[in-house]
Amino acid sequence: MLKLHLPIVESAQQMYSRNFVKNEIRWIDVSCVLRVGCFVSSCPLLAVVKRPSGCTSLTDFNFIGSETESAENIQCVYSLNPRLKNFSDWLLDIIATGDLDAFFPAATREYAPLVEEVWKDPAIQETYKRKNELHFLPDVADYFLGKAVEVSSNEYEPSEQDILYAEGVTQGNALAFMEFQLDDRSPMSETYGDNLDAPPPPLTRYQLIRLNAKGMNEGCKWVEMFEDVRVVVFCVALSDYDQMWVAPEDSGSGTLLQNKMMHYRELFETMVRHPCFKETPFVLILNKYDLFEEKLNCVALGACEWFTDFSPLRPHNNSQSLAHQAYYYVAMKFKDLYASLTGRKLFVWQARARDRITVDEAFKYIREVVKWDEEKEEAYYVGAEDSFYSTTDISSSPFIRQE
Amino acid sequence: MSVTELKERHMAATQTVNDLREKLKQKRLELLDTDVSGYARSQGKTPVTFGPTDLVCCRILQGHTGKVYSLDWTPEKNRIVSASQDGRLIVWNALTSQKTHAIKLPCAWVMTCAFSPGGQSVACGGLDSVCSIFNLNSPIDKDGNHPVSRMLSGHKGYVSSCQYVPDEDTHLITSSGDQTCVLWDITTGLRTSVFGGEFQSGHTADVLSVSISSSNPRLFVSGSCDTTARLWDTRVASRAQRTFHGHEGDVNTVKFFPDGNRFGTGSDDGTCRLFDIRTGHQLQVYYQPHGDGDIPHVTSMAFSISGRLLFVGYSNGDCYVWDTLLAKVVLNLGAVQNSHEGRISCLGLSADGSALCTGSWDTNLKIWAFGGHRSVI
Repeated sequence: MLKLHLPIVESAQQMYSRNFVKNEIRWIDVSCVLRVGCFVSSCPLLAVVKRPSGCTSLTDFNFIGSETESAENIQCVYSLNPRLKNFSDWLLDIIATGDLDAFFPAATREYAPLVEEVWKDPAIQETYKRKNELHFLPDVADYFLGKAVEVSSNEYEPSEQDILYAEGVTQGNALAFMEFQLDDRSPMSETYGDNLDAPPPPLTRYQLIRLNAKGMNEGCKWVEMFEDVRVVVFCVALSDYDQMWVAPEDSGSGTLLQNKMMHYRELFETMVRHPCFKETPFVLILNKYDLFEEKLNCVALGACEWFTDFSPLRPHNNSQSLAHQAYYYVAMKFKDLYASLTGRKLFVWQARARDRITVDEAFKYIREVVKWDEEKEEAYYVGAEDSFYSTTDISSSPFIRQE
Repeated sequence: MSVTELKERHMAATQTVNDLREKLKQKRLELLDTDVSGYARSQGKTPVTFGPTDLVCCRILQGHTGKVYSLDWTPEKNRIVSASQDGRLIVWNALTSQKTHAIKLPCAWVMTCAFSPGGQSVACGGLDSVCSIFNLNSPIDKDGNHPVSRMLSGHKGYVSSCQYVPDEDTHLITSSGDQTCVLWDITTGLRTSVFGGEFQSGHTADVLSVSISSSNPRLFVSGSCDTTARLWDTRVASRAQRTFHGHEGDVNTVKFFPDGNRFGTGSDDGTCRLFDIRTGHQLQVYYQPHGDGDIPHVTSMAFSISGRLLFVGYSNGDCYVWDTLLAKVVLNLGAVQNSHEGRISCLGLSADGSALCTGSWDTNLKIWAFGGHRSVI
């Protein structure tokens, strides 16, 4: 399987790979990354408060209703004290010159207490409350910045949760891959849940390959190497519908700043259109449903230009919550796009990647998609209406335990 | 200066560069009165004659269980190293077809391999962004695996191609998906120079191929997805010596011409081109339209010893032998008996020029030798 997103891989690795915890080299990589990551993620906040008074025009960060005091010496709730401001200025300068690697992680331990102090400063905390307006701040900033000193000590060993939260902090587009086994039981087979005396079902070996989406651009030559994969798993973070990223200049959007969800859509289209995936089934995993649910209460789905025609039924009762409707709407958008490009059905699954159960179910669903695709090749008749895996109603998923 | 002002200045500068480029292109076209084949024909030259028995498949190297992506000959003796999607490097004795080493790689997604000048080590790289070196004389460890003797890490993207600097076992050059080429010192594992990259003027897209000049090892060319080839001097890493435009698609492969004054390129646009490094001119285009359907991409190329012949592998399994002087195809190894059944991904000529090895997605390698009384050219 070909996969494009990190936390699901990390969850999978923890669940399926016995050697995961013992891999020493991995620990070192992750801790180094977390240390550098702490400093990188604190940047958007620091850049915001860099202005002398702390709250003059901040149009670069799309602050809504920015105060327009002109007097430079007015102290406001966003100003840092001078000592911390000197430190933050220095940090911003070395990041701007691209020299971060030269200073960190070597100087991490020395500066970690300062970073924690900056983080805990009321000015930064006030700014952080407006994090919805900061497009480049990773969601996990508060998780790591709060324990900057702990993360930077030599004895630090990342916990499983730390590793899950560290997604997106690595640079580069190296791939990661792992092999694991899932048994072949499925609701379609006779032995499911019934015959306890039956011999254990055969295990099928899978290889999961993780590709960092940052590395994908026009010239993704290496995708041809994956011509023979059984399924492409495309992961999209639902909660990114209002997040921005800096698109490379020659992308079709024309502007430098692009909505992340639009970027995912372009990426998805590129993958689906690629000749080497002509016959390969695609599974779309819509991830971070919990964050998505939370965010919908403050930021409309229409923040992404693709979703401007979303009109939910109001008032929302429990079984048709806003998040539920929004989820189905987004799923339909992708399914329609896929059908218009290939004439085939897109398989969609919902996940909350930090919750192991949903990841486990996602993999079992993917396994079923692969098997269904194989059986299709052997010319078994599986009518589309009879498909067990129709995605229009996931509440009857065989994998969710019935309460 | 505000951000908007900066953006405007950037756009204006880009426009100026594009205008200048267009002017250069027009000027070059004006100066180009003929190409190599036009001139050769006017001198009365005729194409070399090649029949199907002049180049025959004399060995089939079977053993890989996945697509072959890359191969390299030793500079002396007759050994070949090949890299395959099955995650293995195999070292073959080309004369006997025997495998002398089968190296299981830590990362199966390998894209390139190379033999060291002394023949003691092999290097490989791929999607793991690392160039790994294996010493062929090291004993295998208790799990039956060959240990990695050196890992050259630092690239932020996949390693697409690597080549040792001629006569130097301790230095090699890699090209990468992170838009840079790097000259490595193998003894320390550190980068000696980085060509291109974020703050330097280099390629603007993935670099797919490198070729080092054998007559002047300080010079090398690189080919990239930005449709250009660039000439570099290893002493000057900050900018390329020259950029060669002309291709209309990704440049998949580059190879120096035997005399070191020219080099060839092969691209997704289906053409091969010959460029002169001293003048920067495009000397010749090698393209044969073959009717309807998709244009096959050029995947790999190699010049014969004298340079009179150019062997080119294509994505549709064809392998044309071009007469470089007259720009005519004199033989298609993809249409003879024993031809490969899939795309030709790599090819290379032995050191003495007497044999050509082709590697394919059909998992085999084939060795072709000049047969009968045909002399090596």
